[in-house]
Amino acid sequence: MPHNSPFQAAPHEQQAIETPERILVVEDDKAIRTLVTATLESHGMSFLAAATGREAIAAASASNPDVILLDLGLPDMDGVDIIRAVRQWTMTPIIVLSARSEDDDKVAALDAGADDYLTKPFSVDELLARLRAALRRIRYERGNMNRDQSIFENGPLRIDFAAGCVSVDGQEVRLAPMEYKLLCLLAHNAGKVLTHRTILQAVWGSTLPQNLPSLRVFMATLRKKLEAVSPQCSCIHTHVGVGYRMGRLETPPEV
Amino acid sequence: MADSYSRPSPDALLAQLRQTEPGNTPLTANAAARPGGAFPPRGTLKIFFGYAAGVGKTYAMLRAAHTAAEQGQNVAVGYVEPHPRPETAALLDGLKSVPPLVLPYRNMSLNELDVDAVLSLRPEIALVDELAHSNTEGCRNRKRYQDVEELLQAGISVWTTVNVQHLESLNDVVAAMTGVMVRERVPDSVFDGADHVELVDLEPDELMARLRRGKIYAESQVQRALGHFFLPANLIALRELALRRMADRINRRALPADSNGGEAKRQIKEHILICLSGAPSNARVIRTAARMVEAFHADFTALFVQNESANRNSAKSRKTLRENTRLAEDLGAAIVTLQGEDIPTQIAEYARLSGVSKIVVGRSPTGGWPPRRGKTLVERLAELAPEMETYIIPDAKTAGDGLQNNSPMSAALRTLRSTIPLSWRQWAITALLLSVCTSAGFLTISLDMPNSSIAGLYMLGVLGVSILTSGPWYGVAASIAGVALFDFLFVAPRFSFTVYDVDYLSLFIATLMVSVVTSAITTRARSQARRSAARALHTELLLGNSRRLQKAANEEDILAEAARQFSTLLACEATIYPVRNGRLEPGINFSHGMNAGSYLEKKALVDGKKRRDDRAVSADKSPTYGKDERAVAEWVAKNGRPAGAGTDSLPGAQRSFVPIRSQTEVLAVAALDFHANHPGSLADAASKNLVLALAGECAMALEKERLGRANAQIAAQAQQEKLRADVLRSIPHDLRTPLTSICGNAAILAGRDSLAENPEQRAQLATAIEEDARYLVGMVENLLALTRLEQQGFTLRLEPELLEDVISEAMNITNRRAARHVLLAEIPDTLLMARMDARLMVQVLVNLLDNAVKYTPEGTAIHIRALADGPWARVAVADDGPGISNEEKNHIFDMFHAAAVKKGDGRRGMGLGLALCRSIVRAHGGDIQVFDNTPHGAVFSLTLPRETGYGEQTTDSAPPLATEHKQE
Repeated sequence: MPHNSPFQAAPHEQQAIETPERILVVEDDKAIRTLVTATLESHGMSFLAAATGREAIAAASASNPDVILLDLGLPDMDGVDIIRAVRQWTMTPIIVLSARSEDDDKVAALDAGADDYLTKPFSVDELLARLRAALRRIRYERGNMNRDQSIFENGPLRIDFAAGCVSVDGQEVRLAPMEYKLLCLLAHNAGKVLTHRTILQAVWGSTLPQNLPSLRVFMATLRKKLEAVSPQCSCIHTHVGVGYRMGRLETPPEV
Repeated sequence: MADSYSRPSPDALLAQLRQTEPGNTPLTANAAARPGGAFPPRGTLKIFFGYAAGVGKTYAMLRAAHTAAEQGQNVAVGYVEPHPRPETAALLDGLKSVPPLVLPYRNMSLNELDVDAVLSLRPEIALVDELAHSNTEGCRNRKRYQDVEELLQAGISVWTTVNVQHLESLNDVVAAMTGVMVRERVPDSVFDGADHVELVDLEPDELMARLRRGKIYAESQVQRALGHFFLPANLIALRELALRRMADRINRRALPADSNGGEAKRQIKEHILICLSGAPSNARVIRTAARMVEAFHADFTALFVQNESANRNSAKSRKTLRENTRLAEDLGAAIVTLQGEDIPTQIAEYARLSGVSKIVVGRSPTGGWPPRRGKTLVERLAELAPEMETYIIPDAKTAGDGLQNNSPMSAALRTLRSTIPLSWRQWAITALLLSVCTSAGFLTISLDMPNSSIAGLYMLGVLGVSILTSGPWYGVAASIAGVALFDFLFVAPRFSFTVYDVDYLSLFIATLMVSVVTSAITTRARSQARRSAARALHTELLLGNSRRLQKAANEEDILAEAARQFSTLLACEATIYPVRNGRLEPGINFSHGMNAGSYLEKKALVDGKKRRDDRAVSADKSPTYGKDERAVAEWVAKNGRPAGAGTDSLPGAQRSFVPIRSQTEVLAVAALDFHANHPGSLADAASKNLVLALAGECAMALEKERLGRANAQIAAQAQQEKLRADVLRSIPHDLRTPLTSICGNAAILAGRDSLAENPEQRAQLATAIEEDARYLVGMVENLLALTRLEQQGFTLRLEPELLEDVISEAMNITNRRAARHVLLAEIPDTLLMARMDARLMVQVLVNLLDNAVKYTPEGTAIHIRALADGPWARVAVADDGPGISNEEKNHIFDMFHAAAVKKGDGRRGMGLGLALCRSIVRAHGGDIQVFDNTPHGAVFSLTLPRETGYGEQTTDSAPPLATEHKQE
């Protein structure tokens, strides 16, 4: 697979041909950068590399990558600022790499617009899995641009926004109002990690910590209800300490 | 003079002077402790001292102020008396001045020092003229020197002026010298405690010349002054007095009498005792005694004996007694109150027990009516305590105004007035006894016994009445009635009041006297008994209270207990406001349900029956008290001195406020409401002592509590330090081993060795490197968790988390590392939540799972169970490996415990994992334990505080709303 393919993919254009996915890797540490790019190469993905924040923004605007892998510990700019800058013109999935075991920087990045995260040290498998999930998402979105926005499908799960009903494997599932709201929120952001704060703000309207236990309970029951019908519909992932995510499934579902 | 001390060496003197740097000397003798520490560093007091008005004190002060201002110090004029002397007035120009407080008085307005204005201005130096001035009503403090004390405590230095005649201890000396009694006085402690005293001296002739030239007083007053005060003899004497007092002051400052400096300790300490009374002449005795105390460097005690007759003193003499008590206190005496009938005996007893060496008394007043019988106080003392030195201070005026009302005659009259018989019960007793005697009399007649025995019977009857009733009236009435009955019924001629035999007259008189005397004796005995019972109860209560206070568990209990004690012992309503970080917090209120009745009734409560009537109510502000009361409380909290009713500061308040303070800070403020017309109040010396004693105890208990908590914190910190040191010590060692193998294997793989040819071997080496790296990752995670725990000071950010989430995360991580075991989770209650730090708890579970994986053979199952256990959530990790011996169970959570593992992997035993687990779980408020699994294996079980605060809102009966969905 040639690097830096001349073919530029505009995000809103319907794709007939499968273009090689291009990943922008932003990492200042040479060893990790080499590890990641080597992995990408060996799996047939083309990539761009940047070592500083400024380079990253320039590369992102110039070559429109499909996914951005962004290290949060860059020397010149704060990761959150980079995310905000990039988000001003594109919705390209951003996966952040964090070296700290604290969750604060990941949560901040997600709130600023990142979609997913990885904690160092990560295994190559994890990295590939997240990349694939992100690529699936954009492929789905590009492929389904003209589709009916009022129906959401993700593997066995089907949500009819207009009718307000949810079904798994064809079977209708009754949800409480809150659960429904949560499910819709997750569905609209399928593939993205939503922080607790984001969810609280969107569904409860405020980020008071008192609502956190309720959030947990609703998520748990929601998941139970969905899984009761189809055990494979384990598409709602809990990221402990960070938030929740509905993963994009293809049959058979991958983790 | 009993000097048994040697002069300290110059070095010791220097050390002493350094100790008494400005900021360390108490201003008033009343201060229970030295201010400092939590209060800002004290300001310095500089006194410009002169011997008469017009020597130039204010002038000197203002000149010095100008110099200081030129040197760049921030000087402000607090209050300077408007002077008719133009030179002085001119000096006021150019200095910052605080406008005075204008207060209406009668139909004038008076200017006073505005303390608050000066406090808010916060100059470095404030000038306040006339230290001895008494403030008008409406001012916060009664005396200006108290205002100055406030300023000093706030850190503002004060310069002031005072004349020698204003000093308390010299007051009567000056009066004797000049014939003028100066009313405005300053306690000697203020003068001695000042940091600098500058003597402003002037030749008396010059002073008089100035006076004549009109430079001191206005024309009209000059003549009067010359005639009265400004006589040459006076001026010379005053000057000498002033000079001597300065010299004294230097001596007193260099050689403190308290056992502070090591070498100034003395072997034989003098102890001077004076007796307080309600006579105005007593004041002179007190002052003389104070001077003696200074001269002998002795302990000073003022004694008052409370007996029956004292209670019947006129209101005026009680007031004088209170003033005298306060005077004695101001001069540094410890006030002691004793109960007893016979004053000389009490005094002698006390003197002997307390090691008093000298007694100072006033000469007993002569004159008055009736002439005193028996020996005077002095004579009695000489009898009872012959070894005691007694000093007699003669009176300036004998049998002064107050004394008339205290003559025995008027006292007796008052007694009679106060015991007017009104009790039906006692009349009934009288009547009963008399009828018994009468019937006995009839019986005697019928037995043909002589009349004299009947007389005896009646006497017995009268005696009985006197004993059984209170007050002389019943006895007198009974004896008269008895005599009448005897005369009428039994004396010939019977049934008539005439008497043939005159002997009977003497009998009648005798009976009368017997009754009066007996009743007097029994009344006295009864009151004595009552008083000593009260006293005993009092002491018992105090002891019990002290114990209870020490036992109180936390600060709130201590304050509640103290409030209860105040209210019980002083029969008042007590509210205590704790002071934290200088701010008043809501108070704990205690109002004793009972009225201040007799102590014996209260004793019944103490004995056994728990105090059901007492309630402790947490009240912020009692609705009846206004905001002003709170302001007084805040003033007390800031200044650390009593204020409110019965004190000299803010006396208009409804309650009395007493600070509960340690040496360095005010811990709480007690507000006591002695309802009006109550015998106990802060104005009363005995009550005041009691209040101070209770406050002191409470302060001690509070301080102990706070120090205990601080200690616990320090201990926790020390433990953390130890933990960190331990970890740091072992890290390099435990990192080295896996790193060695990684380096070695990687080097081989890099091809520097021919061993690396075989692809199988290469794969093996690579796997070994990966495993070692994973192990290092695990260790690093543990260390990070540890540092995080430490950083947050072992207090965590706890959030409610579903155990299911945390457990599955832990399982995912473990599965990634070693998928050769089967991990099974059993969580019956899927909504089980606990408060935890998610990341740390994941770390704990990962550690436990790793342990299980390490020590059990491959392919076996590891179970994780979570269930609710009351307020706890319990998580158990069970394996069926070889298990852990009982011996090891005791040590397994210790840090760096390397278990003797069958695999022989010494390096795997860093042991940080389990110790860390325990620290984390404990920091959550739970605990972790290890048990045996059946048939074999180990179970690690930990508990976490459960989160049950969420409501069960997940009813799934309501269908989702059709049109509502949130767009992101």
